Amino acid sequence: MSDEVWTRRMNRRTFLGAAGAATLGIGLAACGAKSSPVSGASTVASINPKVDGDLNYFNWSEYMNPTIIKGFEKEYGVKVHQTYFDNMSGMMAKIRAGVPYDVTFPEAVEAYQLREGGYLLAYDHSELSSWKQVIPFFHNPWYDPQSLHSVPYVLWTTGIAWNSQKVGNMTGSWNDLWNHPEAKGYINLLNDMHEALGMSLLRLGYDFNSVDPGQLAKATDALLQLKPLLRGITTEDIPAIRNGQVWMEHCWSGDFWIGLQGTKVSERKNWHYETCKEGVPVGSDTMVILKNAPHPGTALLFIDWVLAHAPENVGWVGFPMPETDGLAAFGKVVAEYPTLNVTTEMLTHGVPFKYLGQAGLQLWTQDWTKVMA
Amino acid sequence: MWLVVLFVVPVGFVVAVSFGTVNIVGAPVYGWHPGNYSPIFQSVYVAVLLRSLVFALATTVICMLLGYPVAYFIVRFGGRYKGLLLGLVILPWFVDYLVRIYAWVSLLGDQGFLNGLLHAFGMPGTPPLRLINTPYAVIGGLTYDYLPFMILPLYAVLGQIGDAVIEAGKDLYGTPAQTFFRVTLPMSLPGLMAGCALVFLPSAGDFATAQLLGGPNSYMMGNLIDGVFEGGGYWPFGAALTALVLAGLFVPMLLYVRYALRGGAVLSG
Repeated sequence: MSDEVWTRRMNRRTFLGAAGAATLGIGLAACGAKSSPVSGASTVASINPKVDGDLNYFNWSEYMNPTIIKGFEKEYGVKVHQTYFDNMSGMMAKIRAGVPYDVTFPEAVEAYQLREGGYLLAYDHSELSSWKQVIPFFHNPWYDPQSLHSVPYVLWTTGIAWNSQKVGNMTGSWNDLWNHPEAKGYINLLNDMHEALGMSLLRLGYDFNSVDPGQLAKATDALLQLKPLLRGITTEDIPAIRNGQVWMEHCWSGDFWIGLQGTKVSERKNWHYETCKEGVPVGSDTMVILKNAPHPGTALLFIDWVLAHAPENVGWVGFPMPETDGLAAFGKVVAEYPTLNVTTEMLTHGVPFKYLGQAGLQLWTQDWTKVMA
Repeated sequence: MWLVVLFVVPVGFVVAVSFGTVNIVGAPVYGWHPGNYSPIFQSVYVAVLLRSLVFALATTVICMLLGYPVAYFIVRFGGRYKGLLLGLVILPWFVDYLVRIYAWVSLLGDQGFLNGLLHAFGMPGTPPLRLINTPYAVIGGLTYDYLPFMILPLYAVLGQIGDAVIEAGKDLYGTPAQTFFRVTLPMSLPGLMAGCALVFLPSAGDFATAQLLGGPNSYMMGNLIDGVFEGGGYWPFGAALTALVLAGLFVPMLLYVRYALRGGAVLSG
């Protein structure tokens, strides 16, 4: 893929998202506690996989190869109306407000919350001709038993990226972030509560999703010890690789890959990505159909289309998709960087992001805010 | 009436959320949980509040020092180019706020324009100067963001001071300096105060600038609050932090409103 294509790409969580802050503020006022919709067990709907209108698509921006969307429009003679969210909070606020999207892309934790809250349509996945492509791990994921409400989209791991011209002695441990005082002022930490605090918990031998106040306090202290070594706490992990402003960073696998494409070819060999032995966070996104989706038939066709075109997508987004063809295609894309690959084995041993519960979320938020302060 | 709709109601919502909890999908559930406030009085948050106020104060002072001469020059010497010069002050606002901060990132970066220049002039080090991710970069960025807010009200009041008044000052054997400090400055005070309020209040609550130009020790209250709301945190805690900021800004706001009510301000407070 040409460099021009890569260089215009941004991190899906890029800070431009801040523009959404105003919207969110309004959401805050508007989405006061209405009682949540029908919760409890959903009845499995039977969606007729036929075009029933244009598609309302709600995703991160730059998070699907546009050729897939264009191909779908052409094949079925429909329009795909794309709306983007900047973060999961914004996505949730709009869904709570009842905006009728057809296909939405929540992360696993949010998919769990939406399913528990009764927002998702349960449907028979045998309607999807490409469902058999999805690897067995996702036939019964923790966030959606029996996988009745969701189809997995892409996967990512979180690890450490480093420049071997500047930093040596990497040990494949989260300790590497702490143990390189020579990189002081050239290390970035992800500005993501679950990634950062969870990583610190893993390093101390605790559960990635622990809500134990004592363990969280220790993880927070450890991050506060790391803070003097940091250059920034940011999700701008792609430009950091490209502009040489960091030597080592807490990094998303796909962002490392995309960041690499924008660096000079001569400098690429200096950059490496490792996952860590204390635990590899493996995150995943999903594709879901909301209960109030006006066009579930088109949504179903679209999800099927995306699954069938996974090989086209993985090289473009920089993240693998958990289905046979998608994993194989991604393996080829990152052949030179085997640590970027996500294998079934990693899924089994990796640590998932789980919903922390209301009380847990409160604790985490307070501790994370201390790190940011 | 509008004040009630646009100010009191939103603040009321924030306060209501700050005493509540959330449900499974993160929606605020109103209730009475004053415990949400107990963690926010820790010194760590108060320190960030103070840092935000110091940054905002520094920004205000620099904007004052830069903005006053600009407004003065445009009014006194702009002649028929006044409109054009004022237009140039506002021109950058046609570009999105975040894009302008990103521009600063590329100017101040380690391999950015400024360091490139220093390097070309033979300054050693890679980079020659650590500019980005420092408190100075944040204050510089804030100054750039809000400078027009200082210039515009000053331009308005300075334009109202007739040449005759200043002539009169000189006729009374005042030196240019005396004329400035005893005539022009006091007469422009309402604009200066309005400019200070317009720069201080938004810069104290800003977060985008510190996020992109700051480092781990230069985040502001806005960053903490943004982190909670946008980062999938516990909203009642974010609302309690917001209430803390509002309380912190209440005193300077009250001072300004009092000043305005006494008839000092050009803009109706």
